[in-house]
Amino acid sequence: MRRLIRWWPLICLTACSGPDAPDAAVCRDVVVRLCQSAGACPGVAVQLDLELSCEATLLQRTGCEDDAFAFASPTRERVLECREPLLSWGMSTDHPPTCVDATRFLTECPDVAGFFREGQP
Amino acid sequence: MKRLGAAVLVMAVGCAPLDVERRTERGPLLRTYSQEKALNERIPFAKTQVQWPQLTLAFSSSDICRTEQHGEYAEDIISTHSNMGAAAAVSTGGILTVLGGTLLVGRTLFSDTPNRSAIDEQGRYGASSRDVATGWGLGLLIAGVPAVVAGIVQLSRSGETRETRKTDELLSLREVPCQPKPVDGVVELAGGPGPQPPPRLTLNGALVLTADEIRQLSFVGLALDGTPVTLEEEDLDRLETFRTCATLLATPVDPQALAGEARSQPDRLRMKRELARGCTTLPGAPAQPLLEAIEGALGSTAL
Repeated sequence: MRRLIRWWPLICLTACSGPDAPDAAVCRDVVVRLCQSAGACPGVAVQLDLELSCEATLLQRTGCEDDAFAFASPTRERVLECREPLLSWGMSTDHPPTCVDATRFLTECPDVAGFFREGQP
Repeated sequence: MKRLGAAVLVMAVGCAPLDVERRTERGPLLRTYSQEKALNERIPFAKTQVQWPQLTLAFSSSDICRTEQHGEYAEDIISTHSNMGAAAAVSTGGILTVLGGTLLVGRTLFSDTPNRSAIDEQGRYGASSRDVATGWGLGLLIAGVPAVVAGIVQLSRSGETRETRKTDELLSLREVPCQPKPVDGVVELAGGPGPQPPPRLTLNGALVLTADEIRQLSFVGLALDGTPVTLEEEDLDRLETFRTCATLLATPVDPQALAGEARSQPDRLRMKRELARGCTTLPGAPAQPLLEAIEGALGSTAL
């Protein structure tokens, strides 16, 4: 109990979130969201130059199917920044982002969109 | 950290208000006492003395003495402290504290694995179930413990306190003339229907009026050096009786006239008989012959 009281500010800060997710998990999360919207928004699929299997294509193209994957260019921070429009329905991937949010992701972040369209340089 | 926690609790509890209802109950009478004091308001008084055919008005200046009768009582002031929300605070706070404590004690039963199904804006996984339980437990304890302590303190302060004190009540008040001192001055006999009699000087605090003077004077009130003089009821009655008898006894007794009056106006004669009886109360007043003559006239008429 005494230890809890001593560390309560830290507990309060971390109570709502866990540890940092690895780059591969972040990349896969973006892939899942993009592919959810690509199914409903034809423009997204065209801009990402997708074939039939969206997730398999993007994972292979970006290399983030590998757990050891790490962002280089764009950086992790840049990807997280551009990912924010895709979170308008929440952190969970149960609900796909809207076409507007997906289009914003592609138009406002051409470098990150290029990474998912062309893969790691 | 303990002192900080105690300070937070004191601040949370110290301001908790209590409803106080006060009522007063009167106890037994402890004692009675009287208080006498002079008001230092001297006013002129006059007393009357009769020694037929003279009426003496004795003037004096008297203070007004106030006599107060007080009663001393015991009085209980009963204060009832209560707080309608104390019990609710204890029960609600108790539930929150138990829940919070249970979550904290049993937090190891929850999984420490982060929620990997969601990644937030900063790229972090969701909190583990254990962290969520710990956060909720602390929050519930922070809300519940002060409520329990405040409720317990309020309940302990609730109840009745009784304070006894003495109280004083004025039971009666009487104001009478006191400390008389003879006083001389100019006496005005005022208020009559006719011309006002000339003022007269007192001698040794007294003014002597004869029956003949009284009969010729018409006055209602007296003033000494311009200040109205107060006569007590007994003295006022004596003055009026003297004035009446001065007129009644001035006429010589005429049995024949009385006999005629007894026949013509018996009621008036009976009234005169009562007045004559009143005159017999004045020392030295020669009312007896008149009274006997009236009795005789009325008696012969009755026969």
